[in-house]
Amino acid sequence: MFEVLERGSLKVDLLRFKYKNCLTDIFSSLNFKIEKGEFIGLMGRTGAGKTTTMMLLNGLIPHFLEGDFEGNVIANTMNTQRYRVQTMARFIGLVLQDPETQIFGITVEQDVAFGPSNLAFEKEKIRKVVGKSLKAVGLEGYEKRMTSELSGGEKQRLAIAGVLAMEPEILVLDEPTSELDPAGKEEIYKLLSGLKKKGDVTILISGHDTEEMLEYADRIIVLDNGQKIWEGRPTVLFKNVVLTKKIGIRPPEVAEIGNCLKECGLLDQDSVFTNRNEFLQFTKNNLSSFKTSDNGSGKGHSVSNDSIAIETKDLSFNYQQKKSALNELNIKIHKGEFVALIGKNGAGKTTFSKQLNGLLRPTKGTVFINGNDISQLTTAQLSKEVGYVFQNPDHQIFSATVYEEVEFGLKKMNLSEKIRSTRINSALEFVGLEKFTKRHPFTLGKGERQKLAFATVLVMEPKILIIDEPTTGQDWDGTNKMMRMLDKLHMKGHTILMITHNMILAAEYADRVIVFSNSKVLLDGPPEKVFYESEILKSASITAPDCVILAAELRDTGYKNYPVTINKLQNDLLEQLAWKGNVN
Amino acid sequence: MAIVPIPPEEINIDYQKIFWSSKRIARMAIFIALSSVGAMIKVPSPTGTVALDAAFAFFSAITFGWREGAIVAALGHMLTALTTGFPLSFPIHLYIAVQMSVWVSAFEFVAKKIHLWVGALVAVFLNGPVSSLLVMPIGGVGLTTALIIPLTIAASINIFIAITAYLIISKSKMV
Amino acid sequence: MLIEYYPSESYVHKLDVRTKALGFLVFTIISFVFLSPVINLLIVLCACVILFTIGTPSTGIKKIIKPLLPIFILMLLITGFTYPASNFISEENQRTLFSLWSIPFTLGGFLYGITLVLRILIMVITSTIVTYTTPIEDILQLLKKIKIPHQFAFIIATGIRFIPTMQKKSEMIQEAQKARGAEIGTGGFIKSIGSYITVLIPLIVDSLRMSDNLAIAMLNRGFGAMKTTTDLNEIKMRGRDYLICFGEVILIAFAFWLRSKNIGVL
Ligand SMILES: Nc1ncnc2c1ncn2[C@@H]1O[C@H](COP(=O)(O)OP(=O)(O)OP(=O)(O)O)[C@@H](O)[C@H]1O
Ligand SMILES: Nc1ncnc2c1ncn2[C@@H]1O[C@H](COP(=O)(O)OP(=O)(O)OP(=O)(O)O)[C@@H](O)[C@H]1O
Ligand SMILES: [Mg+2]
Ligand SMILES: [Mg+2]
Repeated sequence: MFEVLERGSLKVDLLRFKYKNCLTDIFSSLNFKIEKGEFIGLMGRTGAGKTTTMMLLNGLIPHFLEGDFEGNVIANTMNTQRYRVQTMARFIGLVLQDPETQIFGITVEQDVAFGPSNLAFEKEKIRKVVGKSLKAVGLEGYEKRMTSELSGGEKQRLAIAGVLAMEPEILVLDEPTSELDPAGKEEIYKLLSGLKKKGDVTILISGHDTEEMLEYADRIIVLDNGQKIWEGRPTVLFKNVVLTKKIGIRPPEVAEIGNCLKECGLLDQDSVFTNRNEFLQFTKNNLSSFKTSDNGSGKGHSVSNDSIAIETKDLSFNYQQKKSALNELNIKIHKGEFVALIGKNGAGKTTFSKQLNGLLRPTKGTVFINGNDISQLTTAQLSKEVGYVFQNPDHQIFSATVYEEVEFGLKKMNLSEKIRSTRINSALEFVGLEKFTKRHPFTLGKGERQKLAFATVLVMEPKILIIDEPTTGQDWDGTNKMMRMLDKLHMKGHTILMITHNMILAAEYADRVIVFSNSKVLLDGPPEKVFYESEILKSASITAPDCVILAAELRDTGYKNYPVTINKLQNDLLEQLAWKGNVN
Repeated sequence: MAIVPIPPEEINIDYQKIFWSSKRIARMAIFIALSSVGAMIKVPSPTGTVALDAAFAFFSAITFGWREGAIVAALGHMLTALTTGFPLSFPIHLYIAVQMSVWVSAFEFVAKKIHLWVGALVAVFLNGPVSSLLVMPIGGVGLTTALIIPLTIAASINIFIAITAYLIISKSKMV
Repeated sequence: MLIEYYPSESYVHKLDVRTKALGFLVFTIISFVFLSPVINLLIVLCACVILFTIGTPSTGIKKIIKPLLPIFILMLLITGFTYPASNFISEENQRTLFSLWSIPFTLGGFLYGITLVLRILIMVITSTIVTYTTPIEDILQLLKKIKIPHQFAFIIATGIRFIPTMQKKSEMIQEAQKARGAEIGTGGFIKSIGSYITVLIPLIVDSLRMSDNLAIAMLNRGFGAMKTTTDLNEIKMRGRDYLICFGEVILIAFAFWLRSKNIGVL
């Protein structure tokens, strides 16, 4: 009747769980088991209960977060209700979402030693594990560095090292890559799979990273609404595009093509592609040569005749004396353009965008907004023309109601009560918060707070909108909703400048892509041009969307188009296959 | 398979009811860091600039009780002094830190027992005039006269901001 | 750098933190024992010599002394006018140097004012010596050694660790508010207080969220798992420490002996 559990395994048998201050159950029945040495991906949309599941595993629930808890969680053969979290920590290491709050040391070395010294390891042993863990995450030589001076990616690695130093048998990581650029993301996954190969560490990781999960995970568990709704091999999951979309996960780009071919009856479910090679294999087998003619770029919506909204002349900026953060930038952005700013962490994207509303002032050079030199204008004055949406909504919310929060920016504008309330209501309606006017903003969910922050900027009716990484940490649905809002504003004629690490979004929505690298503009042009400069992109550590890579690989079959969205490539392919069908 | 619950006597849950719970320790650490940051924020006032170093301690006291407030007040002051290299020397800062923790506790006590704004008045009186009188043994009458007005203004600003923040934040269910 | 610590290999750097703390205490107590400025002046000179041997940049000292100057002058003046002449033992000190609106400015009062100023100067300089030569870990160890609950040391260390984080948060919040039209720290007195409320509330709310995550992270790292924790670099008293501590004790005993012989009064 009792099964024997190995060390390093996890077993969750939950009847129900409800947070104390919540009205409804988060989980009603959750069961899964993880064997020693597995690499498991935990996926699901925002609010599905991924973080809550992870906190169950080392006993944070029910020890730290109170609630109604019924069931058993057995981690590393220990029932979490019998042991304190601190004791469980020795065996099951949990790395949470925000690395900033998981760093305790002033120097890197002190931080990694924090865990083992709490466990009262011997001094010599601590020295050894500190060295070993830093080496494992690739931070050797950083021992004496100040933790406050590390970059985001380094902090993330340090957080992992801090937990590794306690020599856990199970490693659980909650969205460890949400703040990183694609290259950094890849590195974290590589690091983890290296750990898995070396020792017998069991790994459970949550995230929205489709491609990485596909490559590295042995098994995927999908949660939705507190239920385990799917479990199995990642290739099986991602082949089923309809299902992944339904549960709020972005399918891989090639799978979308495969799915489309399946729907046309050209493929069966099992052979839907999940990677590029399968796709190329298929085209090789089924198409000897492409016969479509070059029909140029799809968008071709030229705006260069419109007047200029943003212009920088020889714009240079440096935070410290030595290193320049922006170097002689000459950029012109026309009214009504949708520009995506891309580049790896630290390239200077945020620094550049802050120059445009005066949050930072150029060390050299000038910025013009709608033709006016802004050096004499304050940020507050510019806020009527340039709206800036920050990544973290909690940095602006301070009022007691949603309505007052949105009203704040208007107070200085001498508007009549009536105009004011129309403006507020239309801004709230635009983001979909019209029902919440009387609510206390802090009680809203994270996604709603993000919308509120967006509304507070929209209410000023700026014609130029800058958005810094609007979709970080959001699930696929949230991302799509946000992008649709931006697209709607773009259609209304707003100039939009979006900073993003998501190349698929840049390719799909932007008219123009600017690539930053080392404080300079490396490439600037329509996505159809920029994303096909594979050599230059490589030097900036940017990977183009899959469809671009596929199109490039298809060149030797005679394919001549430059698609940047998967739909475009898919249509070309279908057209071709249909054409072939006709000939046969 | 049916789930066999473990017997209640084997459950080892401490619901963080003790004073030194990890939650409280973490919160105090962050609020102490905040006090230090507040000290670097300079609000212009008629008597020169005022630092917002004490606001967080008053906020902690009214929201989380006098003991937490007193610790945040004392350690927050010491940390601020430490990061600036003890400009008034270690013993004087220690002396001020102890005073601050008493004032903050008194504030919480009066505010809870009598009325929030009465507590504010008492706190301003203690942190302004009384504090400046208490430096007499060290700096004589000279120092006291030099400090009394700026200290009172600084105290009023800090306490006013703390109370406003408390009133807005306590309306949400956050604390 | 966050804390005013200057790493160097000077003799004072190598001493144990307890030796330095005792030395600090001895200097401070002596400065309170005597009323005459002569002995305090001697101690100030002594402290200055130590300060220069540890090789601290002189700009640091200037930065600390400069804002204190007006207070020092005020202290001298007011003590000179207000210290009652009857308090002085020697006739000479009861002498009036000059009067202002018939309030006498006594020589003794002036001298006592100097003593007060020197007293503060002694404490300031010796504090500076200790903070410049002692890494924060040693200070935390000292707290542990004098049996202060270990939570305090942890709170202080974590507080220090979070200063840059909170500093950055505060800057980001100010930027976010400016970008939507707030004018922070400008306008009149009342207006600028109001503008800081728009900064402090998000700062506090965000801190509360952060502190929950921090508490969870503490547990994840085994905080409180054991009754004791391992200290990587424990402080150690060496031979020279014992020697200097002995000297310090002799010094303070000598000071009290002098005072009992009525030396150094006014
Ligand atoms: N401390 C808490 N108290 C009350 N409710 C909570 C608490 N933490 C989370 N919840 C609620 O539990 C549900 C699941 O949240 P959880 O954080 O586990 O989701 P998630 O899958 O990790 O989402 P995300 O992708 O946003 O991280 C949400 O509806 C959330 O509002
Ligand atoms: N406040 C600051 N002080 C000093 N240096 C800074 C500051 N902010 C950014 N930098 C430095 O300036 C450079 C550009 O940073 P920036 O934040 O603009 O990059 P980014 O392209 O927005 O990166 P990310 O994708 O990580 O947001 C980096 O080298 C960074 O370390
Ligand atoms: Mg989560
Ligand atoms: Mg950025």
